[in-house]
Amino acid sequence: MSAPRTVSSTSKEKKMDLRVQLNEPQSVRKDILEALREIIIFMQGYETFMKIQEEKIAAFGQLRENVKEMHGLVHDKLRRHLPKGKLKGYVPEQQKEAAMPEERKMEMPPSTPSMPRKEESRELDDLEQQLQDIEDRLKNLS
Amino acid sequence: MERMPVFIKIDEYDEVLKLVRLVRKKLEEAKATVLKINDLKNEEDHQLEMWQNTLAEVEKKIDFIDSSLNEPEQF
Repeated sequence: MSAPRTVSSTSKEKKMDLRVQLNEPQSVRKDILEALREIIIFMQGYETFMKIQEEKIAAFGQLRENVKEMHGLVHDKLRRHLPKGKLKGYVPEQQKEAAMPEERKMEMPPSTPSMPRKEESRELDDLEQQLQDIEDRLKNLS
Repeated sequence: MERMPVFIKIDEYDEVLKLVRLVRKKLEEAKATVLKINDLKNEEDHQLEMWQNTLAEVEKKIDFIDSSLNEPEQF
């Protein structure tokens, strides 16, 4: 068996000559290499993860489109073919909207393509309004 | 008056059936997309688990290297 190897950490500036005995130098070397390998595998995994993320974003976009199309079909087309039923509670709402003062309507800022946030929030407001209408109608049915 | 029958014209009825078929198709597409998202989420979870294991392995190795350098046996 060979004598234990020593590791020197000397430098020109340092006065102290430190030597550390490694009892298992091969194991240390092996561990360094393995740690490096694991880190590289980790970095490869990161690339895979980013790819999955991109696919997921695309899938969410696709889902949004699907649901939007469904909404369009049910709300804009299918409902037109079916009788509206009792309009109790719904008509006054429309009348209220029609009777809204002109000044208040003027307060709404005009939409521009450079304001996607505003458009998004308007879309959410529309959905909220539709939801409210549906809730009212369901209440009237029961 | 409460439960009056509702009649729909046949030509419109056809249109309604067509629309329902279309909605059903869109529904199937949406379901497939949700399944795909779920698969991707599982892949992500798997990847995260692998990362955790990898980091634990690296930590073990660094601990060993650290202890080898910091706690040498005395002569």
